[in-house]
Amino acid sequence: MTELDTANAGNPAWIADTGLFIACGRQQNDKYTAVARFAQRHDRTFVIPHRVYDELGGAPERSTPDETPINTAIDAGWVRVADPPNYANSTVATVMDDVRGYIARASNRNEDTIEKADTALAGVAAQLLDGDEAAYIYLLTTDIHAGEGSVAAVEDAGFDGQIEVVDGFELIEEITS
Amino acid sequence: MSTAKGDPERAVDGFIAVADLLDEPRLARLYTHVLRSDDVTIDEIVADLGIPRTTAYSDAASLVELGVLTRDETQKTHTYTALSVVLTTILDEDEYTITPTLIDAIGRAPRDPDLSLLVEKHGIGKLAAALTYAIPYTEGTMSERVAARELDLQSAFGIAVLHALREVVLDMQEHDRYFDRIRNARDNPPREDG
Repeated sequence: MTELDTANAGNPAWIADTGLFIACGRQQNDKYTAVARFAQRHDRTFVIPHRVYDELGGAPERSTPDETPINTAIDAGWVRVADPPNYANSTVATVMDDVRGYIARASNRNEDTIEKADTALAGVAAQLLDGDEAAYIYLLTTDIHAGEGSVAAVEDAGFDGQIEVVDGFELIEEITS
Repeated sequence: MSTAKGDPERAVDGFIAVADLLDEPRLARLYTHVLRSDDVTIDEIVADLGIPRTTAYSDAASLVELGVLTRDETQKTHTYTALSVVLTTILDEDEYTITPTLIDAIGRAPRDPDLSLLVEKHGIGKLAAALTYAIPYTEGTMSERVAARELDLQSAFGIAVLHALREVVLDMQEHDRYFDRIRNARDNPPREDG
């Protein structure tokens, strides 16, 4: 993916959502090898919120997420589990609250039906930017709608132009075709 | 299935045809394949679906008998065309419109690990419910985790089901003339008591 090849700023981070790994595994011949090779060739580590790790690990037996070799990816070093979001950090907390509102409005639901954990992706993004651990964020997700909410909230928190969504379906198609 | 409106015989025969398709993924798969291809021969069906010729013949004959396929016998090589089916079921206050898109999902289930697991664990009703979320999800107006939670599925498994049904939606929306009549979960938040 061209945008991914040219970092918009120094020190970018790639945050990957659950759906990216599932979309990978659902391909006819599973594409983990291709994605692993892609990450390693570009010297990239995909950061995942702990929530994503728990979701993949908690999937029912025989489902695609249950077959995801996430621990192998972590051992191989191309996936890393992020530190838990620090709710005491007001930037992180505000971003996560904003994303909740965004998801609720866009999905036509009440805000109280959106769980805080649904906003983990944005929380990790805000934390990496706020702690100067990254200067630019690529959000790799198949939940485009939630991804866009995360971008809006992170930008509103003062990180304008420092985050973008990468469509997980498109990314997988590009690196495996 | 092209007689006068209000024909009770046609309505009940149609109901039985749809019920048979819902109950038999092999027939469902053949039906939606013909619907998407239009004017196909047995040779093409055998090549596209990778099924034995005898199965293709007998299943196509069953679908003609059910009234959902027609066979054009005017040419030397017979071709098959599918008729769009639509069935609205109303049980007390619960309503659902079954269209070829759901039939396509059923036809794929045996070959899809996530859809087959969903049907095995929760039945075809859950597949039909998941489709109502997959439509806004594919359009980008429903979040994965909201859908998974309301369907009462473990999040990652719910996401996998949405991905599977996204392929169904993308393949069927152009070919299912009743696509717009499928319920859309975005417009229907779950009931407070549910």
